[in-house]
Amino acid sequence: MTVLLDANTRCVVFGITGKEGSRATKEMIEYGTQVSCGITPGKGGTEIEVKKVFDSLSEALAFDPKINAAVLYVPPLMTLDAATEAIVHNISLVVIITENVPIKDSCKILAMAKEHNCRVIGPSSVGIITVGKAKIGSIASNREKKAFTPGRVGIISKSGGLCSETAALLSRQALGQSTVIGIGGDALIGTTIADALLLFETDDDTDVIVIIGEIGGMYEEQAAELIKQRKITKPVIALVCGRFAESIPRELAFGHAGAIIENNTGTSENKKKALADAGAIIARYHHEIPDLVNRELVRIKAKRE
Amino acid sequence: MKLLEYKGKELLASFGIKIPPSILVNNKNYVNLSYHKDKYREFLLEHKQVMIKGQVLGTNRKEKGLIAEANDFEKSLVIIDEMYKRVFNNVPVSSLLIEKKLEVVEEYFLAIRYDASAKGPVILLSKTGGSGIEMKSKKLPPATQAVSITTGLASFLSRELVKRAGFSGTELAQVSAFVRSAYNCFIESDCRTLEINPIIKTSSGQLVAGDAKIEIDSNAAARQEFLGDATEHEEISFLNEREIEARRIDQSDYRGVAGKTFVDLEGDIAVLASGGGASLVCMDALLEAGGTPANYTEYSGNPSREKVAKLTKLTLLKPNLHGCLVIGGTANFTDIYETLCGFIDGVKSLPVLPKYPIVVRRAGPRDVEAFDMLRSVGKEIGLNLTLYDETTPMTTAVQQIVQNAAKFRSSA
Repeated sequence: MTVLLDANTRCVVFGITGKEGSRATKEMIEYGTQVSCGITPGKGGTEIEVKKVFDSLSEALAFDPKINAAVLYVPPLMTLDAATEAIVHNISLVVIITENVPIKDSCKILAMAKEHNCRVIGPSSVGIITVGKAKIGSIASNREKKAFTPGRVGIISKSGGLCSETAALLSRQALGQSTVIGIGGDALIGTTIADALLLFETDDDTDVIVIIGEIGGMYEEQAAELIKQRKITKPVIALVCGRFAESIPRELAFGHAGAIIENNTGTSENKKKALADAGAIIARYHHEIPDLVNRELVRIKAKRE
Repeated sequence: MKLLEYKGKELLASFGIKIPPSILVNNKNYVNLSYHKDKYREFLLEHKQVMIKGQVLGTNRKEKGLIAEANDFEKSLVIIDEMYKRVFNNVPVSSLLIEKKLEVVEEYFLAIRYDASAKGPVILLSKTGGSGIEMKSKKLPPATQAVSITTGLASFLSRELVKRAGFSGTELAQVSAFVRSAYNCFIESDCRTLEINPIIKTSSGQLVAGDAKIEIDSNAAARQEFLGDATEHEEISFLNEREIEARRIDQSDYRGVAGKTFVDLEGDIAVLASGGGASLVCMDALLEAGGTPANYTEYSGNPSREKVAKLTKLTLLKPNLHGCLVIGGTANFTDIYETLCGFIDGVKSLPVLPKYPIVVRRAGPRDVEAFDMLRSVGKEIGLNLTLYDETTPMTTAVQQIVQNAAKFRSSA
């Protein structure tokens, strides 16, 4: 997807000297991503995977002014600082892999990103991959060629595991993918399902979009609203998982505020209904996705001919 | 991390919000009865009419008999003794908050939480608070105000909200100041939710927090010093012993997640799922296929072999199992060999080796090695194993365990 990742994307890795950061760096380079350098305060002057390590982004930018993307592999309580550093230096794409970021920090990051016109993916994102070209993050680790094959299906998933699983399922039936985005499962995220849908809508490499949603929150409902308003014209296939969790009888101690503000949202049934009413195609089972995708691809092909 | 009422009120008070005069008693030092009795007798003498409130997490305490009124010393001791005998959501009532009963003129409702569509904090305020808030809110929805986290809650914005909620005159400034204190508390203390219901307007015109339901962001607990030893109040109230044990397994080892979520269910198919999303997909499919899960649990994020072994043992110690499903999507970085070795370690540590069918569906780093190991160990110790790699959809594996378990059940 040229909207997110292209030949000009030059990425800096925050936390490059950590276990996950260095592994991801190696994988990104192998997959063809232009990794410029890394940042770990206090480790400036060393090297990881033949990439230079700097103490700060200012130093990294002095070394390579063309850096335009950042991926964050820093501890949860340092994420706000690293994201701030990237955003105030006008990095246009910030992918946050870190999990367990305090919600207040996420909130501040998103507010700052908005002011600086920066796109944030995550927190808790597994990363993004434009199949056959480049990837940012841990997505498809070890599995890039096995699970991900080039094609015209875009995938949006809260769950990182289901990014690979869904791509693999499609690949087995010769349905390749254009770009796969792990948006992360936190309550507050930089790029929502609706935001990602808009990216795929304008992406010339994508014909069909798959959404893997979950119970809770209202991102699926927002996506449905967008489809309903005809802002998304490409076919959307949606799976909403977690119906099982609703069958567990548990008293919610803090139900009030949530129940008041999000009356009737959040359950899988409501999400499915909203998406179906808006015109999305609902997959009841995960394994149904390839057939549903294929049907739409055939229809599009017939229309074009 | 949800705070008990008294802890929540202490926190509110530290941000300048008035709370009723109170004493906290707990049955750990109830042994020193005379001291507590004297303390309580003095308190009752001073305030005449008191509320005795069981400190548990949960709603509708009043209806459940965990809030009582008292004005007679001897009679109230009986109430206190009775309350200490109560168990609420699997947790014994171990502390009581005894408060002066206030003269209530009016009851308001305030809640602050993060809202996904506003991408920031949202405040809800209503003139009609108190019990039955859900019904009341349906009739008269609270006034709401989204707040920008960068500019904060300016006085004028707070006053606008208060006016929209129906307050006027001198109350505008008074309620507005209360809301701002609560907002400061919400932000500074890393709350996920802050709810005060009711805010009591007393006969002397003061605003007092009548209750406090506060949830602290557990991701921020490390930087919130006031919590101190409050971690012991962490929400365990809905968990049974096995569920608490699973959580202990998770907390005892920082590597990856295993057992953080564990729910005991009624069925006979043990489940060890992987991945937040994939585990839900598989549980949905298991129920759709007519399967009867004995539990739900999940491990992911490359947990250690030992951690998976402990979780496996706990999961399979449940009596009367007729099947076991080990399932996950295509892992991004969880080491399949290490985690499945953990599974085998757990199986081997059981007092009796399982005879029921086990279906494994896994894919990811070192999965080929892992499957070779499973085949040889399975043969060696005589496990009834069915193995699927990524070429089989997760849902097919789910259907297989349902069939295999049914067969085993009918033959058993």
